[in-house]
This record gives sequence, structure tokens and C-alpha cells, in this order.
Amino acid sequence: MANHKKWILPLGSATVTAMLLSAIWFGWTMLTDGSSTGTVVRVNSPLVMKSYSSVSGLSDDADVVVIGTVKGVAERGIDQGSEDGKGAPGNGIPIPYTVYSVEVMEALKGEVEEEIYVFRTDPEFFPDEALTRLRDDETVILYLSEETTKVAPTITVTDIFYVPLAFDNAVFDLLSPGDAGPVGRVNDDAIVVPRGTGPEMFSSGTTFTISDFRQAIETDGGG
Amino acid sequence: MLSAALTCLVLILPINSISAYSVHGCRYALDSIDPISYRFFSVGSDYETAFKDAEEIWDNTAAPGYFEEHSISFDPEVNVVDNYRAANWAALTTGSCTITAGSSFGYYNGNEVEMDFNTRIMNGLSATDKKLVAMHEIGHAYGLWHVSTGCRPMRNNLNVYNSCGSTMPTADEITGVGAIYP
Repeated sequence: MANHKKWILPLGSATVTAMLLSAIWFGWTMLTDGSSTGTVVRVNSPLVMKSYSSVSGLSDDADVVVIGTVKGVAERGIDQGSEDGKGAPGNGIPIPYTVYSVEVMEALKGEVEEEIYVFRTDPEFFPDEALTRLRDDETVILYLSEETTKVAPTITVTDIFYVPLAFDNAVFDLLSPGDAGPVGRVNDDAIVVPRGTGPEMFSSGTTFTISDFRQAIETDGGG
Repeated sequence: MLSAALTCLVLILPINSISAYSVHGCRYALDSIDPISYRFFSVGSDYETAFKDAEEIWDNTAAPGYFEEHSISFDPEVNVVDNYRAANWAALTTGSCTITAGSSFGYYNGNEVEMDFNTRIMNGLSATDKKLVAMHEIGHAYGLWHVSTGCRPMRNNLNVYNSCGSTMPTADEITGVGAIYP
């Protein structure tokens, strides 16, 4: 059974992958409902995912916390997972992703290179989730888990990449980054707002300063 | 599978709130819910156990239909896989259907859905929590959507992460499945 299935599902998945790539190529918004035969409903169940309502909770779970500037898209692809992280392509539901290049201004927790690669699921696949694209030149604080390409065999631009812990719930926008250069120390008074707000996350209108993030990490002993 | 692939070209999620439960508008053909067949595709034994335990819980409720495993050369209603994923979600169920004007429901394209467990996240969950996630996903496979209140399997993502102790489908959720399969 397993052998038989291993042929069927990858072939089917390849078809789906091709169609997804076509969808990306033509643009998702062109391809909504409204045909004369009825409304096509695609059901992507909302995700079972841990959410955070405190900076300290994020600090506890993150391998790395960085302040960085988004430099652009490094790679796009389709994620189908891998077989238990051993590098063999998986047979999972194909989900589009983008890998972003981020220039690190300061690592609040962990040690990283000056340029890191951040994996983001594309938001079009999960319209009900708090999930946005990263934009060029924006400065963000990211709570990240560190991964290798064994997890996502289709990534070629890097061997090590980073994934925000919980979509936008692990992304903060830095409104006034100051003049700190790469791998400098960002002004403690810089204003930060959470990108992911809502139930079980941060309240809309919440603001922080960089020093709030430093304190949370120092309190957790993760600095 | 091909029809499911074609509908990847659309992006819509109308949610029909009927009662305290919610439905997403897709369902299996009415004559195929006794049983709703499923197959495991290279799924780890702990995930098979979680799914089967969750399936048994649903089967023992008054919800219409029941689930049954098929293992050899059979195109099932529910394809169950597990994979190690980069993203931090635990589980996902997908499918698609076409709802014609004047109708509240459409039949799943290919009469099937895909259910995917992320082993990177779920390996860290207890057997009980794995079962809760599976019970939640089976609710989606049935046609239920999330609800925003209460301690029950279809409450957002909180059946695992808020430790509310929800271990059984509620009467409202069973009523919801009954509304999908009258």
C-alpha cells in the first residue's frame, strides 16, 4: 500500500504544484469565483498554531531574535514538507512560500550572520490567518526558529534559514529605527508595534520600545 | 486530485454561520458518508493512532456517517499524510467544491479532502493533544468551520493551546454535522 501510494501522491502533488505555480504566475486575485456554474469554494482550514500575547512568551520559544531590514525576495517556491526532516521531499499539501533576505541590525537573542534568510508562507493560501508579506526596506523585529533545508528541500539559496514562530504574531514593525548601522545597537527608545493583533495575540494599538524587548530577553536569560 | 488542483486557482472562503456552529459549505456526496473512507499515506504510527482514536470518538456520536480505513488501491474521501514542515502550524485540512446559485452546499471536488499533520510541531504534543488536533481536523473534513467561543473541538486553535480540556464533540457540533448531512 505504501509503495503504491508513494507513486500516486507525488504525481498528484506535482500536478497541484504546477497549478499553484500557474496561479502565482497569473495572480491570485484574477482567479476568484463568479463563474456561471457557481461559486468555487476552496477550504483551507484555519491552522492549529500556538499564539502569543506576551513578548516574554515569544522570547522563551525563539532560537533567535533579530532587528533587521528586509532587503528583498531571495527565492520563491512550493513547500510540501519533507519526510521527517531527513531531506527527502514530502508528499504534503503544496503551499507557496517566499524566502526573504534580511540584513541584521542587531541580534537581541542568539548569534546570526549579518544577512539571514527568512521563510514566510505566502498569505494568499491562508486568507483567514494573521499573515502578511515582508516588504522591501522595512525594519522589523523577528522571533525566529532556526531551520535547515532538510526541512524544506526546495530551498536552494541557503542551508540555514529562519522561520517566524507564529506568522505575523512573531513580527514587529520598528517605527523609528534610528541610525544604527548593520550589527549595531538600536536605540532603546525606538517605537515598536506588533504586526499580528487579535484574539490570543497582542491587542490592537499596543506599542513597545526596544528596551521592552531587551528586558524580556534578559529576564528569560536568553540574551 | 486534478479537480482539486484546478480549484487551487481560486481564492474564496465564504463562511456560513448557521447556529453556534459554523460550516464552510463543502461536503461529501450524501451516499458516501456511510462510510467516509480514509487512507494513511506513509503516516507515522502515533499519527495513525491519533486519527483512529479521534475517528472513533466522532463515530460514537450521533453525527451522521462514520469513518472507515481503506488501505489498498482505494481512492478515499480523506487522504491523511504527515510531513516535517518549515512553518509552525500543526495541522491543515484542504478541499474544494462548487456551490451553485441557490444552494448552501457543494460536493467536494473528487469527493475528497487532504489532511496534513506537521510532525515538527506535533511531535512535541502529547498523545492526547495529537488526538485533539485530529478530532479538530476531522471536524473540518466533515464540513465544520471554526467557532470563536466555548471550549470545544472546533474552537479556533485553542483546543490544544489553551488547555481547556475539550475532549469530545459538543451537541452543537454534532447538530452542525447533522445540518450538513440531513
